[in-house]
Parts: sequence; C-alpha cells; structure tokens
Amino acid sequence: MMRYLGVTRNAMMCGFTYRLQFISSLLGNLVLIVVTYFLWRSIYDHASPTLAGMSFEQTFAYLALAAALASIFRTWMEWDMSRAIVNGSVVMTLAKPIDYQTYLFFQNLGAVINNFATLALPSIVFVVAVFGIHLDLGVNIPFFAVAVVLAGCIAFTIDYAVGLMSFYTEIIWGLSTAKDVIVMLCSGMVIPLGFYPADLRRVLEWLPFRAIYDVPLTILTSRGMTVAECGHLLGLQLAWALAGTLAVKMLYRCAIRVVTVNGG
Amino acid sequence: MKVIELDNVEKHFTMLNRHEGISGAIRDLFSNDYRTLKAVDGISMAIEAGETVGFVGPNGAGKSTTIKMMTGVLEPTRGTIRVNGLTPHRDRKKHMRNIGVIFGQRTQLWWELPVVESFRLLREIYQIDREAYDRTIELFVELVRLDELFSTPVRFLSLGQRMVCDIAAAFLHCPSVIFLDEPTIGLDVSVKSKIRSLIKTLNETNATTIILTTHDVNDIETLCRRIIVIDKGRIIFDGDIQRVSKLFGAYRTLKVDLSESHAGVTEDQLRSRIQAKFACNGAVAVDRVDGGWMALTIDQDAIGLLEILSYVLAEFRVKDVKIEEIATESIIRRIYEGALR
Repeated sequence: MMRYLGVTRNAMMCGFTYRLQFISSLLGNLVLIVVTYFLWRSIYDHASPTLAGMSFEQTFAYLALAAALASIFRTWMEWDMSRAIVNGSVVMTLAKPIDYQTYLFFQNLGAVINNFATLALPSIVFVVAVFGIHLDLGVNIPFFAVAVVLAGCIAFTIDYAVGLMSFYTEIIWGLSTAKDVIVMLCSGMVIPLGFYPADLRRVLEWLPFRAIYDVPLTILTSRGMTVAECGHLLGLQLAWALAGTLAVKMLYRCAIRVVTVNGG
Repeated sequence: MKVIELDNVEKHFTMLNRHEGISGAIRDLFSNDYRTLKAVDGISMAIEAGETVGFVGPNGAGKSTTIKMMTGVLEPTRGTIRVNGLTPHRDRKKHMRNIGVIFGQRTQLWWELPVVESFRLLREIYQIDREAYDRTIELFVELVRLDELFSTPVRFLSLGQRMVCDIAAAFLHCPSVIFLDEPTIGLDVSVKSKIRSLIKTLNETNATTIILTTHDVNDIETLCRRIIVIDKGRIIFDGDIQRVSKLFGAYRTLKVDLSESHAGVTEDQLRSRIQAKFACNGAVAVDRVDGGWMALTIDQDAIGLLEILSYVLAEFRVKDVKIEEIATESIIRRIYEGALR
C-alpha cells in the first residue's frame, strides 16, 4: 500500500503545474455558493420561515457545505480513464505490477487533497466570513471527518465504475453526464433530501448516493444528533463503501478481459 | 533456457462494419453487423534468455498486438503464452515485475513533472533497492548524460530526450525481458544510433532479453541476430538474419551510369531490350536511380551478372559501373511483398 503514496505525491505536484486553474475553479465555486444563497433566500422569503423542518440558515449551511464537498470530489477521473482508453495510453499503466484500482485511488487522492486545500477550505472560509453561517460544532466534528472520508470512497467507486465502462465503450460522455445528474439530485448535493416527497425519500434511503453528501452534511448540520445516530449513519456509509468496492472489483475482472489498446 | 514461449496464439477483435457518409454513420448506430478481425492468427515461437529478437512486418501485421499479449495487457483469444514460466494476463502483477515495456509512441513518464519524479515513483512502485537504482542511473549518466535532463519537466523534452528517459525508466527495475515497440520512431539519425548503442550495452551488461519491433532496418542490423517476420497475423519467417540474406543471396544489383548514352535510354527501353535478348522474364528488374544511373537487380540463379554486364557494355555507352550486394532493407521489402509466400 505504501508504495502507492508516491502516486499521490506526483498527482499533487501535477495539480500545481497549471496555477491559473485554481483561481478559476475557486471563483466558479464561490459564484455557485452566492447564487445558492440568493436562490434559497428568495424561496424562503416567499414561503415560510421553515421548510421541510429546516430554517433558511440550516438549508444554506447544508448546501454551501455540499458545494465545498463537491469541489473536493470533482477530479474528472472517469474522463481521464476514458481518454487513456481512447488514445491507448492505458497500456503504460496496465503494464505495471500494480493494482489498477488502488493506483487510481491514490492518484485520485492527490487531486482530492489539492481540491480540499485550494477549493474547499477557501470556500468554507468564504461562506463563514461573508454569510456568517452558524454550525453547532462539537462531538459531531470527528464523525463528520470520518463521514467525509467514507463519502470520498463511495464517490470514487461510482466514478471508477463509470470509468471502467470505457473499457467497453471507450467514450463515456453520456454515462458520465447521467451519473453526475443522478448524484446531484439523489445525494442532497443541490437540494437537501428533506425537501423531497416522503415516498421518493424512502427510495433514496436505499440508494448509495445519499451516503456521499446527505450523510456527512446531516451529521454536521443537524442539531442534537446522538452518538448512536451518527454511528448508524457511518455504518450505512461503510456498508456502501464495501459493497461498492466489491462490485467494482468484479466489474474490473470482466472489463480487463475485453480491454483493447488503441494505436500501434 | 526459454524465456518466452508462444504456442498457437490468436487474438481476434470484433469490429462493427462501418458504412460511408452521414447516412451510413446513422445506420451504423443500429447495426448489428460485426466482423471478426484476426489480428494475430496462430503464432508460435520460443525465445532464449539474453536474445535480442527483431520483430518486423508491415504496418498492421499484428506485431504490436503480439507484444501487448506478451506483456499481459491483452488476453489471447486462443493459445498459450508463457513468459518466465508465467502466464502474462493471469499472473499479472508477478509478471509485470519482470518485464519492461517501451512503446515508441507513448510515454510512461509524468508529463507535467521533472523526469526524476517519474523515476522516483518507479523506484517505489517496483520497490527497487537504493543501490540497484543508483547503479542503473549511474549507467545512464555515463552512457547518455541523463543527469542533465533530471530536472526538466517531461513536456519540455525533445522526442529524442524523452525516448532516452523512457528507456531508462523501462530498465530501472532490471527486468529480465524488455519489449521495445518502435523505440526509434521519429528520431534523427544521431539519436537513433545513440539509442541503439544504449540498448546494445544494456542487453550485454544485464543479459536482458529484448524483443524489438521496428521499421528501421538499421535497428535490426545493429541489434538483432534473429528476426521474426510477421504478416497478416502469421509468422512468415523466423530465423537468423544471415539466413535471410542467403535466402535472397542469388540477388545482386548491377548499377550502370548511362548519362552519356546519346540515345537517352529509359528504364522501360532497357528492360525490354534485356528481356528480348535473354528471354528471362522477371530475373532482371530495372529501376532508374538518380543522375543517369540504372539499377539492375539480377537473380543470378536465372542469369549471370557478367552476361548482363557484357551485353550492356556492348550495347550502350556506359560511363561507370557498380556492383552491390542486396541490402537487408530490400530483402525485407521483398518478404513483405510476398517473396516467401
């Protein structure tokens, strides 16, 4: 495992090569947060002070943090996987004595760490400084940290599964876009899950997507969650992370047998 | 000891039969009309430890596919492959530890980072101990002054410099087998010769088995004793490079300078007159070379070179004469064009 840490190191260094990208990505993220603020402000102003049991402050804190989390997980990994298949450069990775999934995980980790430091942290500082959101911080902080790590693992397995489909189809544009939309709507990334009708919510409870955004955000923003409740949510995440890992391992076994390497 | 053994290996690809034009492309969206392409169609061979084998064949012959199967990246459709006693696609990790791969058109180096970062990562991935790593690096510093490139980001390297670094990267973990797929593609003459001597030295110092594909005959001539010619997914020649020359040993080229011939002979005239005189179709091929020279490639089994020479001397005003043994390049060209089939 330790021998893969170098991949993370190199991926982090690669991220620092194109410096302007940080500023433009951060700017985009901040604009998104500002738009979210005004959108929900006007929704609340025209409705009632509490919607779906959440005050405006709670909803905005939830969504602003969701935007920060999303900026961490957005690494375009499946696009890189697809490109490597299309131009055949995947052969250089496959011809190494490594586990492909582990290699990509650690490579992705480098981008995730960069995103955390250059996008998520400044975004959170911005939200706190400009909008002054208030969070009840305490025992939920360590639970939140663990939840974010597990959420990252689940997001990775979903991206990786979509990326593996490029072994079959080469281009995954449609699949990746569909995945983005599904994750966006089913995970609480753009609309807190509490706003959905009860029936739909019950379905979403059974899907892995809420484990990416809703679970960590609920742990952080809900007032008075017990340790047992947090533990239950983490257990749910862990189950999805394990199931996802197992599923993509099986998918890889099939995909690697049909891989074609384009070009001479 | 046999390092690589291939037994009746086949690789099939299924491809959609595509149609022309926009309407064809739309039809293809719903088409179920597949065909099977046999990229490799029953290849068997055995390669000894320490050998340098040249893989040649026209574009699209199946060389790269064969290499990709030997590296374990592709799984053969049929047949068995053993490299170092392992089945490449099954014992992946163990197998990959023992091999090095270079694809001339690609790089395994990290595009954005200084060269040395890629080396550092390889040292960790392959768990190369410090001493062995330093030894290999030192060798490359000695041979090609590699240290001058260490701190340059890979994307700023020239093609030749990048290739030198890629070769170093492939040799870092001292693999027992190296696959070089067109390592000299697109390089200038001096870099090519540098890379050849580099490969040769590495083969000699580490006794590395080298499988090389190339379109440059000079690569083969300087590096390989044995060549394997592949065409349409099959081996059409496997053996000593000397033997190839002997196969076509009967051929020699007679060059005559007819620039002062007042009639201004064309190659067609020359060919037809020789054919009329000796009645031997195809035994003499006439090509125009620049500066009034004509090249007559003569099959000496059919007709004597001296006979042709005395005829030409008698019939034309010849300014100068040269006799050449046939070059490996034209032999290989003849093999491609079907001389062995």
